[in-house]
Amino acid sequence: MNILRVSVPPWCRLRVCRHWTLIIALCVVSLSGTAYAAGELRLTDDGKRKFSPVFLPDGESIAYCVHDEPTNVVVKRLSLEDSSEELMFPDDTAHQFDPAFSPDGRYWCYCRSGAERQLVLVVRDRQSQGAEKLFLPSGGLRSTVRSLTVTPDGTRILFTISCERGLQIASLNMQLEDLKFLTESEGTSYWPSVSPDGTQIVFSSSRDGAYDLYVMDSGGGNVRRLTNSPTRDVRPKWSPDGGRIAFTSARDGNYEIYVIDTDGGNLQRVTDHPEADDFATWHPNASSLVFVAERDGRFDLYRIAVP
Amino acid sequence: MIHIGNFKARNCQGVSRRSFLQAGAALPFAMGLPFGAGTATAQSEGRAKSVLLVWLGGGPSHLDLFDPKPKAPQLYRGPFAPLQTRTPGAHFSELLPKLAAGSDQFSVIRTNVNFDGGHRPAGSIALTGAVAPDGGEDRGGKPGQYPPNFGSILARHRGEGELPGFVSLARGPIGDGVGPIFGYGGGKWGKGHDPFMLSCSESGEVSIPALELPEGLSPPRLTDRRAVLEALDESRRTLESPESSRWDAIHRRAYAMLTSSSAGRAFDLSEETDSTRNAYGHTSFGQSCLLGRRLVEAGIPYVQVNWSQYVEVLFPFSDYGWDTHSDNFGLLADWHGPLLDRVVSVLLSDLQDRGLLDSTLLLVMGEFGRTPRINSIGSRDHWHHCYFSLWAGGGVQPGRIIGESDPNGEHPITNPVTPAMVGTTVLELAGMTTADRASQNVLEGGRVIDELL
Repeated sequence: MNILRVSVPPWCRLRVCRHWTLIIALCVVSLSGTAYAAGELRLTDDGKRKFSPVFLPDGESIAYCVHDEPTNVVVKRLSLEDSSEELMFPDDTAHQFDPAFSPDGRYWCYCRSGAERQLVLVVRDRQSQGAEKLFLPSGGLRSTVRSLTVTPDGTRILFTISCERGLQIASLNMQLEDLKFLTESEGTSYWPSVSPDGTQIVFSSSRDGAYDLYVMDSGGGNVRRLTNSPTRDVRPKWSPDGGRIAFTSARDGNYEIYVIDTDGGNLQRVTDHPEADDFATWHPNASSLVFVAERDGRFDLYRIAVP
Repeated sequence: MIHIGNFKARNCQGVSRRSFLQAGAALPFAMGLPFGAGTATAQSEGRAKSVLLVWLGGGPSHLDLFDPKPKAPQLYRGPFAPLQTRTPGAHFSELLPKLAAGSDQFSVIRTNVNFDGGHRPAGSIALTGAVAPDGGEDRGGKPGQYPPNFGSILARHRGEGELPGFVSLARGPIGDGVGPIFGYGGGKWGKGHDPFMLSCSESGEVSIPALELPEGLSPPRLTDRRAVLEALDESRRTLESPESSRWDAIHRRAYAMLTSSSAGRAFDLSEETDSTRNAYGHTSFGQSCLLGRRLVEAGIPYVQVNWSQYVEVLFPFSDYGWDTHSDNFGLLADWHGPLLDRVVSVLLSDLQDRGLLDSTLLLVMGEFGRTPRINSIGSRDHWHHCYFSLWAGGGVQPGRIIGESDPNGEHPITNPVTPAMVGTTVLELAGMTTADRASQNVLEGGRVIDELL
């Protein structure tokens, strides 16, 4: 008689009452060893278009963008404890994109599309009653800042910025000063994500054709190509334990979530569904991913364990 | 589910069309409307019984969708890889894998041209085939000076019917945030030839924004014949009042449909299976295309499904049209490309599976394309010198790539296809001959795009 061991992550045990379905699903995953899709746990159910989910530093809630109405994009906060939701920036009536947080929770950042007719970078300092600083890209009308991420030491924010060289990756300190361009290549460079030790940045770039993943040092030097796919590899996210990178790829015909070791080896497909799986973000414990899944034509947040 | 003004109502199964007509005949201007479907017409329907235009307002990037230029310089080609289609030798962008796999169902023109670089004038030209005599919306033009929309022309040609001859699906007048596209409807023929406007939400709820029910006529009462008649009597008194000016033809059309069980069913997406509704996806665009298919199935001659009401993206009051001056490559990869690929490929398959594709001309296009050269903020601006259109069914030979643009996608190097040629071809396939068009003083001298046939 075979004895099967089922490994249940600590965060899952803590929520045994509310998330028992996930435990069962994870059992299925562990027993089968392959069917990751069976381990999906749906976290939202309104079906509205969602994107750019990210865990808040406490790991207890997720911020994400949602087309709340056809003409309005807001950032919402979903509690994993009780599934409650609230607007993160209810005082802001402009479009809100791509939230990011400093690891200590002090800085809340997002992109705002308002009367300026630019996508501007907003940083709110929680230690100063939410005092707000803005950074407007120099390109003027219709210029953009998107795809924010804060360095692990909480001192700088990275983003994609439109400029005369196209879309490049740059950074600012948390006072929104000291602009530094980290890429200045041909093509588009997008979606930066910083390694947990702060020394490296993974991003997507079209410098050699279609989007592939690249890694560079934190100062922008020593660029190495990580993937080489004929179709696009986008939205990489460095795992909190530093060992892997999750990303979205269309290499199998539609958007799916993959993970890869930081040296480019050990590529594993995490999702497998004929509809799109996209916008993966790591849980702080590095054992699961939250992502946006299209299921039956609806868009919701799902969580899935990563082996 | 149908929304009527601020109400929700199921279809009016309990009221016969005959009873409505009896009531409606009492109206001072009853039923003399250019409805086109549901009755026998003396006019030929041509190969295309119906035309379904999917309008990609804002200007979709031709290089990033149907005319990729992988050998162009970085400043032109963009980040998306080319994808081999089922059509030998033809590539689309990698954003369109489903359409690439089904390219034997349709043909693509890569050399469309327009004559204006502004959304509204270019939209009017693309939808009417003619340049406005007064210079267009951006130069002080007046709506009443515009030539009629292709849909208005076809609806008039087909004549009266139970259903409108021309339906446009959007949340309101299509435009660019500054104002509407004047060529959206009847133009100089008058508002009586405007499209019947409907809105379809992501949940499939259909609204008739222009319709406000008379006081006392709540939707539940629409199922009560006597209540309808009483309300219409009240309406008649209202119509005789000075405030009656707002009570125009659109309202009457709405009433006619709501009180006709057969017609009303065409607007009820709840009659579709879950699998069909899921396949189209629960977006406003997806459900609108499904509704468009139902309207075509019901025999409406001309249906225009609008990607969105506005064309500005990312900025306030936008609803994500194709006007991607900013973040073109992010938006197209995240949203526009996958959504277009899913919905249009499902629409094609659905029309095919139901045996409707042969009798329905499907046309997918916008008013122009986008600059092949990437702009100073890493995106693309308006470009009317070369763009694409997708054609299927209704007598169009599928699996063809028609026309060729130059290596950077800036200009046609084969014969350009003008909006007048587009309109002439649409109407010809829908049964309007040269003589028919001449009799209406529209698109005279227009040439059919023979390469499609």
